[in-house]
Amino acid sequence: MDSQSDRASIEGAYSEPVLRAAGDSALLVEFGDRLDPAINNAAIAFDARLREAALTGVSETAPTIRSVLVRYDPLEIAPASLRARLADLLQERDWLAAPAPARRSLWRIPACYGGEHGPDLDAIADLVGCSPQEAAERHAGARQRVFMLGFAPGVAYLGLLPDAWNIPRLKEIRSEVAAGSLLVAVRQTVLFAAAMPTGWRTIARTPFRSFDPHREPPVLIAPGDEIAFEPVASAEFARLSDRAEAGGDIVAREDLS
Amino acid sequence: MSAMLEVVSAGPSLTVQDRGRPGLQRFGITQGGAMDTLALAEGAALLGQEGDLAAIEMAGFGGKFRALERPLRIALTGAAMRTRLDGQEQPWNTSFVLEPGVLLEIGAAEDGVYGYLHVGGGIATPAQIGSRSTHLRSGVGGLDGRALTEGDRLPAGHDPGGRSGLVLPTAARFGQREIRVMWGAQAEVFSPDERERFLATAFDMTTRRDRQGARLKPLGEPFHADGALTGVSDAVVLGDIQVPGDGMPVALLADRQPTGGYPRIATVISADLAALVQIPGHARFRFRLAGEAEALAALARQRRELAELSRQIRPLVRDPRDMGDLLAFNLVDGVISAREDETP
Repeated sequence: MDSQSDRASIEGAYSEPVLRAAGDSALLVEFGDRLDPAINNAAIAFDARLREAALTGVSETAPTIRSVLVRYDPLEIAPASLRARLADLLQERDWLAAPAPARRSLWRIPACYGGEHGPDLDAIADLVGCSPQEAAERHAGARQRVFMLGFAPGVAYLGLLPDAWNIPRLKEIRSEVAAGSLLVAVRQTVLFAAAMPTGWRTIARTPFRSFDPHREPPVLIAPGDEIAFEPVASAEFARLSDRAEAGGDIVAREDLS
Repeated sequence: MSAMLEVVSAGPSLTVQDRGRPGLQRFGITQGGAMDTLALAEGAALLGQEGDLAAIEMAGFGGKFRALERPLRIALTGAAMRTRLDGQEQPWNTSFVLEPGVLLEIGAAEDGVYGYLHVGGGIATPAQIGSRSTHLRSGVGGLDGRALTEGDRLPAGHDPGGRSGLVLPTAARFGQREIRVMWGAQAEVFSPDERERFLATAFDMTTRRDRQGARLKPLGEPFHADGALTGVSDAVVLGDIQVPGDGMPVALLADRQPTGGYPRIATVISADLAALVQIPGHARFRFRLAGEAEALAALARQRRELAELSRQIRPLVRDPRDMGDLLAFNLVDGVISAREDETP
C-alpha cells in the first residue's frame, strides 16, 4: 500500500513526524497539527512503543491529542542521542496507519444540558446556528472519542464534533466552573473532573467524576475510548449525583475491542 | 506517641510538599511537588536526611508552630522569613531543636516567596497517589488535600537523630533577576520580531500567582501569536511561558495544567526554575536566551552543588551582641553544644 498517499488523505498529518524541544528536559514527537483519529492513534501507538523500549534516561512518556511527550534527564541521555533513538523508533513503521488501541471501552455517561448546569447552551447554539434544544440533542447524539487526558487529573478531551462546532475559545479565562462540567470549543468537548478555571463554554454537566483520588484506579477512562452522553433532566441529575456521592455506579461501560 | 508538629496559627498558604508525583502525566496528573526543589534538598542536607521527605511549604508568610509531646529537629530553608524561636530571633537557613512548649513564630518573607519548614523524619501525613504533596485543585495529598490551618496536627516520621544548630549560606538564586529560557515548543507561531521583543522586554512579577502559574506583566505591549485561539491542546512542561489570548504571559509552575492550548513562546531552563519561583511580587526581571549546551552545563553545575551541599554546612555561631538577653539565652542549646548529636 502507498502510505504516502494515505498520509496525504489525513488532514493535518505531517509527512514526517516532527521532534520539538520543550525546554532542556522534554521533547514532543508531533504527528500532526489537527484533532484527527489517525493522528491520535499514531500518538497512542508510539507512546506504547516507547514504554516497551524503556530508553535509558527517559523518565516518562505521555500521549496527547497529536503528539507524545517524552520527559528525560539530559544528563543521563544527551538530547542528540535521544533524538537519534526516537528517529530509529519512528522509522520502524508508518505510525499514522496504526489501529486504535486493542483494548478500549464505550462509556455511556448521563449529562444535564442547559439551565444552571449548562449556562452557555444558548450562546453555543447561536454559534452553531441552531436552537438550544437542537444543540443539546446534536451534542449528546455525537459519539465522541477520548483524544487525551490532560489539563487536570482525569480531564478528558473528546471529539470530534461536526464543523459547525468550531467555536473559538473565550478571550478571557473564567475563574471557575463546576466539577463534571462539559465544555465545548474548537470541535471538542472537555469533561471536567473538578471545579476549574477555563476559557471554554459550558454546555452541560454530568454527575460522573472522571477523577476520584479515593477510587482505585483514580482515573477510569483512557485515550482511544469512546463516550456517548445521555441527556437527563435536572431532577434526574440531582438523583444521580446523590447516587454517585454514595459510591454508586452511574455510568455504563461496554467493551469495544 | 510519635512526634507531632502543631500549627498554632497559619499564614494564607501553607501546604505539605515533597517531590510530587512524577510519571502520571498520561492521566492528566502533573508532578506537582515543592515549588523550590532546591530548598527541599537544602532542608534535607541540614537535617542529614533523605531528600524525598515532605516539608511544609509557606508561600509569602509562615505561621506559628510548636512540637507536641516530644522535641522535633527543625530546618528552615527557601525564602528567608522573619523568625522567632521562644521569642529570640532565629536566623534562616538553619537547623535547631524545637522543644515542646516553645513557640516557633515565622513571619513574612523578606527575600523570595517560598519558605520551607522541615522536620526530622519528614512530615508524615498519608501519601496519596504515591506522594504527600498537596494538590489543592484536585484535593489530593497533604492534610485532606487542603492548605494547613490553625489547630492542624502533623505527624513527623521516625527521626533517627542527627545534628542541629547548623547553617547554610544564602543561595545565589535569591536576587537573581535574569532568567534563562530556550524557545518554547510553539515559538514559531510568534513572528521573529515578536520573539525579539519578548527577549528585549523587562517584566514585573505580578501578585496574580499561585502554585499553578504566575502572571507576568511586560513593560510594553502584550504579545500576540497568529491563530493562537484555535490551536490544538498539547502537553506543557514545567517552566513553559504561555501566552493566552490577552497577550499577557503566564509562567507555568509546579501545579500547572499538564496540557494547554495557548502557545508557549519560551521555556525556562531547569537550572533557573527555582530562581523564577522565588522572584518576589512587583520585582522586575528579564529573560535571556540560552542554548541547549548552556542549559545542560547549568543543570550539571546545579546537580554538583546539590551533591556537595553538606560541605557548605557550618555550625551556627551566634554573635553575643545580637542576643537580646544573654543570660536568658540557653547556650547549651547552641551550636557548639553537647546536644548536637542528641536524638530528640
